[in-house]
Amino acid sequence: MEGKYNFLSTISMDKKRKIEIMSCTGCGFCKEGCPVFEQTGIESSSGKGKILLAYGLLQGDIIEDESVTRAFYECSLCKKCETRCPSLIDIPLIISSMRKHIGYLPQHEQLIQNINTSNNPFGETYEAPVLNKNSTLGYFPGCFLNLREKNIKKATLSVLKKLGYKPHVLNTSCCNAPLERIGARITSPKRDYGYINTLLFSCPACLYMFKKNTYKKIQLSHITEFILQKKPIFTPWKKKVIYHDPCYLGRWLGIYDAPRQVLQNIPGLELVEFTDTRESAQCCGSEVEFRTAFPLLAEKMGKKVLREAKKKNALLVTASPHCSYHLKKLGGHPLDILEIVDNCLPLK
Amino acid sequence: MLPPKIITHLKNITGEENVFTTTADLYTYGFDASIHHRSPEVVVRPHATRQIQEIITVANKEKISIVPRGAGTGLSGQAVPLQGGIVMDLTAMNRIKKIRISDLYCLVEPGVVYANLNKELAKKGFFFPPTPGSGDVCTIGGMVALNASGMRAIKYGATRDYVLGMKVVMASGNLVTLGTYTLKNASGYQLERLMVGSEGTLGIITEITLRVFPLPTKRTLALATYSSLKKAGEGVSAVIAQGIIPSALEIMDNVCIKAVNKAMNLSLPNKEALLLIETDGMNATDEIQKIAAICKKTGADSITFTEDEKEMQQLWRGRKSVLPSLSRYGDNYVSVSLADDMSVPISQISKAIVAFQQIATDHGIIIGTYGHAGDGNLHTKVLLDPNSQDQWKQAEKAVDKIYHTVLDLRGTISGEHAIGISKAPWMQKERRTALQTMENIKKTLDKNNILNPGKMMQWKGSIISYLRYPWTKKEK
Repeated sequence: MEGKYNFLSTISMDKKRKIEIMSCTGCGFCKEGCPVFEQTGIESSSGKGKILLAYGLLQGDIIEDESVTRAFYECSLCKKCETRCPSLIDIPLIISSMRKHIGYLPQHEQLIQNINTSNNPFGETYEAPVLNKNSTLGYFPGCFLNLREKNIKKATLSVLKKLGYKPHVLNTSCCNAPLERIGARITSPKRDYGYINTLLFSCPACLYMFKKNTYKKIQLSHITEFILQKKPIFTPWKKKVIYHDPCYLGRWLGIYDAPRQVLQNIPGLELVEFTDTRESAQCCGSEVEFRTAFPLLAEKMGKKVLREAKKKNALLVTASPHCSYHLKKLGGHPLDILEIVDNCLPLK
Repeated sequence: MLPPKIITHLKNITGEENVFTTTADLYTYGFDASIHHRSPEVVVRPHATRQIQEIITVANKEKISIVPRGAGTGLSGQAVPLQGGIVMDLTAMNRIKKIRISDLYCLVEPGVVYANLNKELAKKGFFFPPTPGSGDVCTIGGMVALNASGMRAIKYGATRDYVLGMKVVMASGNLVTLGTYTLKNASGYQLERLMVGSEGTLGIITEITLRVFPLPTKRTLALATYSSLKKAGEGVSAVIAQGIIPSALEIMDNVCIKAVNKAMNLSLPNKEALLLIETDGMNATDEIQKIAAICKKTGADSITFTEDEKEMQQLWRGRKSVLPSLSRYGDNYVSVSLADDMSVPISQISKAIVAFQQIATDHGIIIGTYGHAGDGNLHTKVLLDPNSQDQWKQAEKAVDKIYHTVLDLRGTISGEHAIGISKAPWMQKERRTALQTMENIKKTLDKNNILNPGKMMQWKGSIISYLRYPWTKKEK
């Protein structure tokens, strides 16, 4: 398998990062809680294994072959290993860096082509209307809300309307998160932000990508943060719900409280937690490039989440269209938090 | 790479999905947590004792080495396959087969993770007391093979003290049952004891009977700080001499304190040394107060207590993270396991630590010292630039001096991490008169020397070999 740039021996990794790789003492604490290692039990699946493989490539101990490529992609980049590493090694960052230099998996080729040609991972032609171009409040629905989890987009726009907002809804260009995760080259799409000074997101992956790349004048927020600020009065909803932290919203962006507080502000709603929650939350394996390449692993990871929700006899709620879509495909009935908010928010 | 017919044979025994020969698998299974590395020629993951018997029979016939492996958290190279050959990953044998509280034992497979066993035992109000720092990930099989212990050994002893019996596949392929299910046993040679700490060189342990203990009703934890390392060491001896046995008595020097504060974002007092002292049981509070008074008397600058579970966990998290945190001490340094696990008589602790620091200064390297001071078991970590050949050489000289200091103080080379490669030359000095007996036992039980060959008494030469770090690459 060919590397993307074919110069593995001169991987452009600075000295600091190389020392960071060597700082791995091999303690293996990263294995505890790694959702992939939990399923496979194989060294190369763990954070430690991947750091050592990076080291092997950089040192020239090994050369890239299909097994090495596969090992680097056999990771959902959930970041849980990083929370466990006592040497504070940014394991996902090193994996991502390596992905920029190694070959793709065959399953990723179509995904890359789809995004490059159709601006979405599904390769579907769809032009979402750009709405309310004069508004200072923006909303970026992203591919998943436009093409799959349309219910979340509908609920979000409904909630914003009830709160008195008509946001400038941006076009459908992909945020490129899948390309970033694969390590493929990214061409940033040009977007017309109009008068937007606050841009809202339902999809945490899109939010992360915008935070990484967008110019700083725009305030970027997850929709749950915005709703919390507006302090809406909810009608009662007597249900027991369990909140699944999406990896991007939680470990990547550090947003744990806003969705929980929004739920807790609904009278009658009982919020329960997973055994592993917040920083320790279980990854459900929903990210598109991961579940495309490793469907069985993604299925096992997702079903583990569904099992615990069922065991606790609670309605599963999440705040990422990726999680919702994946868990539904596995037979679950997750709700997006905005669907609940819409349900409990009366018309003005 | 082993001949294809051997690989096929192994696949027939365990199933294709449990035999690994890819670059990624062979390379990653060549590491543990030591400074050494060598890739095996095949990794095999058995799920049953019968499979192990068949694998070992093949290996014995073909004279292929087998290195049994748990979680690969060992610090001395025990799981590194010096001859390539087969690495046997035992983590799939991870069933807790029985917990018999009324008989005070549990029966487990070797791949059970320590923390998982204690989670299950805790549901019944019991525990398996040795508390290794790697307890969240290490396996019981690995603990038995290395006679691991940890911070509670001062009161509760080491793994050795809990092993009642076991099943072992010998190099011949025969399965033998050693020991009993009873707390007492004077029935013949205590061969289960021989297997404890045998580092996979005498047989492959496939089932272990462990004694369990009731969980203490209460724990308290005190943090004592010292401006003088020597005084901290004296404090340890003074506490022990009063006849109170704490459930843990840990020491950290300033290098370790700084490293943990930096890596874990903690705010441990930036002093020359600190002691973490835990008492447990009905009299925990009384005992900790008595200990506090002794610490004050022996020169502690401050002493604080807590019985709050969260605070205790936070402090223990700091202590357990010393080893990996040392890796973040300086931008160009990494922490390597050299001379990492000596034990000295308790009264010699301060002398030992002060000597280690002098040795570090003499050789221009940084050494952090911490450990289970209450039972005389110290850990040092050498911090060095892995790219510097000179630093490796200086480190090796320093290690030699450290171990000679330990032996001069009537200590031992290893308290709980065992020998493997990294400590072998000094174990050979320490156990000079026993080496031939050890070799005779090995030959008797493993005629073809297939079980983890080349380790312990069989190691020859410098320990700066099979190095996973860079500079030896330049020599090739």
